[in-house]
Amino acid sequence: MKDNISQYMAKREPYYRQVSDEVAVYEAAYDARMPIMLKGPTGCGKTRFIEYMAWKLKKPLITVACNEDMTASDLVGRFLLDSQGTRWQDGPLAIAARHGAICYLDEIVEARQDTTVVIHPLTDNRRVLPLEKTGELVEAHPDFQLVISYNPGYQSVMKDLKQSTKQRFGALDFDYPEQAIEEEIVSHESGISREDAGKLVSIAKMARKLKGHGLDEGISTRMLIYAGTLISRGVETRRACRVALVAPITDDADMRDALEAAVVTFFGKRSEAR
Amino acid sequence: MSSAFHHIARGLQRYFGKRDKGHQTEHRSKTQLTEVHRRLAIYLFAVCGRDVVIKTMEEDFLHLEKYRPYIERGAIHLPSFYYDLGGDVAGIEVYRAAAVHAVAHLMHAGKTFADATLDKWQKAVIAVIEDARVETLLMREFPGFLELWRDQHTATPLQDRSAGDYLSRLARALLDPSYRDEDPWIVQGRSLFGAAENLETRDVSIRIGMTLAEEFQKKNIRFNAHADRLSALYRDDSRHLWAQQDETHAEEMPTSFFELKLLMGNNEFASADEEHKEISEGKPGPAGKDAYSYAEWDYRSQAETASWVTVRERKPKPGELGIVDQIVAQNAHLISRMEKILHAIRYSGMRRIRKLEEGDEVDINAAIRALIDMRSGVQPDTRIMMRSLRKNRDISVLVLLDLSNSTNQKIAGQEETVLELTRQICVLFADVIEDVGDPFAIHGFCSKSRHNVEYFRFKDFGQPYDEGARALIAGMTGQRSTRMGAAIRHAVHHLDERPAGRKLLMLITDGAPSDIDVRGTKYLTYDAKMAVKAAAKNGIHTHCISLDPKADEYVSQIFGARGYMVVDHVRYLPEKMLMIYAGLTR
Ligand SMILES: Nc1ncnc2c1ncn2[C@@H]1O[C@H](COP(=O)(O)OP(=O)(O)OP(=O)(O)O)[C@@H](O)[C@H]1O
Ligand SMILES: [Mg+2]
Repeated sequence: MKDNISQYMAKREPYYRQVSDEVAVYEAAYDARMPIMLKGPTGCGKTRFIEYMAWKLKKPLITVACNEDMTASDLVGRFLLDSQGTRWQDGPLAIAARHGAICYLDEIVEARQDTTVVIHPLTDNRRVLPLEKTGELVEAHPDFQLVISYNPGYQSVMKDLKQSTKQRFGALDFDYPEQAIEEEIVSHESGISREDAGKLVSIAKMARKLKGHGLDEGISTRMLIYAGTLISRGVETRRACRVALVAPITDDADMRDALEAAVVTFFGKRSEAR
Repeated sequence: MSSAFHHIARGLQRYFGKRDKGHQTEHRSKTQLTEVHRRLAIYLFAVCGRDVVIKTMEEDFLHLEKYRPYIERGAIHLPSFYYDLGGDVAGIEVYRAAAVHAVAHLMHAGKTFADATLDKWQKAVIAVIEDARVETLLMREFPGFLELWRDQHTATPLQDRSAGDYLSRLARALLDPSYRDEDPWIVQGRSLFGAAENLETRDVSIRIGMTLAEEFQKKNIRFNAHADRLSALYRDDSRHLWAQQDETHAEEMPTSFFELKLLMGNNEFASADEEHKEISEGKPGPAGKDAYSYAEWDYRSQAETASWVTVRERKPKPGELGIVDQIVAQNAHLISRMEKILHAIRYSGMRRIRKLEEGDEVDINAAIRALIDMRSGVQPDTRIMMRSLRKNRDISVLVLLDLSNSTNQKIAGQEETVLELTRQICVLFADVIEDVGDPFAIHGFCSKSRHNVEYFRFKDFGQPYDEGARALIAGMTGQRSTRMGAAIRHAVHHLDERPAGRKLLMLITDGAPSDIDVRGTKYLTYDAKMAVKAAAKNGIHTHCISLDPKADEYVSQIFGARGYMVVDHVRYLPEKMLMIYAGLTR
């Protein structure tokens, strides 16, 4: 099993640009093994941050993307049938708890509430995971930590975490970074110039003001990186922006026009390929 | 003809680009504000993060200055059209340049200048500096706006005859770092502006403007306030910088409808009391043909006065069907978004019923569990089937419209009347709710004393949402007062007749309750509050959509802090509707 867990160790340092004091705060929280919740809009760097922290702390990271069909067994484990009969298979949460990994439950609100309660005994001072089916009580490894992510978008009017779940976590707020930092990230990740990255960020800043006023979400850092990547591969800028920034987020013709106008505002009317 | 007239005519030509009369001019393409209004509004929202009022300027050919955009009481006034400029500057670009420039003023406004001591020339120079100041501040956030404005400046060092030439060159020099101009006055302007440490307040514009105005005397060029204007069309006329005597300059919304109603209510106090005749006491119920009598709550005695108001059902008159069709067509994108949301909420109620002996499909987990049990020699649980159920939401919705006289007013800071917005909201809801198939009704009311609360049924629960119903919605008008409590009670009466299930009463109103026979709003506000409470007891969820942004106080009194929301534009409906339904299905 030791071999198995090593696959969860990062091979290389993930690129992460610190935005404020989040690295230090997280280290302190990890030191206390405090469960942490990363809050913030989609595509703002939550996943990247936890990858980086796991690497920095030299701990394995087990990520689970949650969805509404997920059951508690998908987290905890289940019996499988094989030729000899039945065999117990630990789920990702059990593996992380046994072997001292950081377990990252991405988009936890997507999971049904009866699924989320299985994390409760792991996130208070008991630090245990009861496996009902086998009767085993897994004591969490000293290195184990639970991290969840949570997007307080308007979807969460319908889906929300129970207070009893929320209150087991310390929360780090993430948001799109300030202009200069976001520029740096976009330029680093996509390979375009700082100047062009700055223009992409300005477009996003305009779109973000429209969140809740015709747009469900603003343009994320991830989308900017997509746009930048297309540009650096020779796609003409306005075309790249339309494909990666405008078309994915709205179908409203006037909204599109306004966003495309923002593209023109920053990249100019002349459309030369770079 | 007077020279002044020539001057104006010339200016107009310049404005319309008719430099050589006749050919070409007729074919120049132009962009109409009405075509781009919404796109501009969205764009501006993206710039400053709030709604900006954009108005069309009144066309007044005798006043040239009217043909510059201007800012008044927080609203941006733009010409009804712009010609497309040469190159690839389309009319919409001029609109954007003008609108963003004006928004820069709004975002970075300061105190208006006291202008008593300034002459026209000083004002003109100060205005150019002030333009540069707000543009620079906005460009700190969005450097790309340089591109938007730069192309609109055409002044060159060759233009050196009038004071207007120099102002235009100064404007260009302060905006565009790549523009070269060696004139000492321009150079001085640039260096003063570049050296300014704090651009956050208007003081810097005054200081630099005064210095440059003084310095300009050396050139010995006279200033003509009418002729010497900036050549960049997008710049506003700067009138908002100077305090005006005859006008309250506060950038505030027009008087709220609430206050207007109060004034009306007081005048006709208790005028109709003696008409009160033979209405049967007792339970709410028919009192004569199509008349229903209800109790009202008196907060002073903390008691109900039985059979105090009479609600009379009236037949609404049909209107142009086209009005409704147009609303649907114009808001197709909103409707489809709302439908998506409503469908999502509806089907989020999908539920699997497990552990069934007989069901629609095998529950694979249960089946494996049973097999495992069998193999390990334990008694298996044979209930391995499941069934998926879509929880039926079963919500009856009654939309109740306030159709009082105040709905003929324009919405604070907008071109639309309250009634128009009410109708839009109502049509959008009807379309969307019809699409998901919930039963709904649309009723409306107004009042003229406690003896005559008029109640209109535009569409009833059992009735299809067909052309007939839509024509009635198109024909709705606003008159008289707002006796809200009585109307709510009558709507509740209709909802009570619905079979069990969830019931939602959605009231759309623009103001506090009021009526001609009641002084002030306190009495009717308390009564409406009691009506809402009574509805809740009958299992009816009430929610208010307030069209008056300043309505918070009394609306929250009546409906509770979470029982209302302000909507001053249909654009916000999808999110708001989601909130209402989310509250309902929780
Ligand atoms: N601070 C940062 N440093 C480095 N890269 C970043 C940073 N913020 C964002 N990114 C980039 O943005 C991309 C999207 O970020 P990430 O996948 O972490 O988003 P997320 O917040 O987890 O989104 P979601 O909620 O959709 O999962 C990353 O792939 C990374 O390239
Ligand atoms: Mg992620």
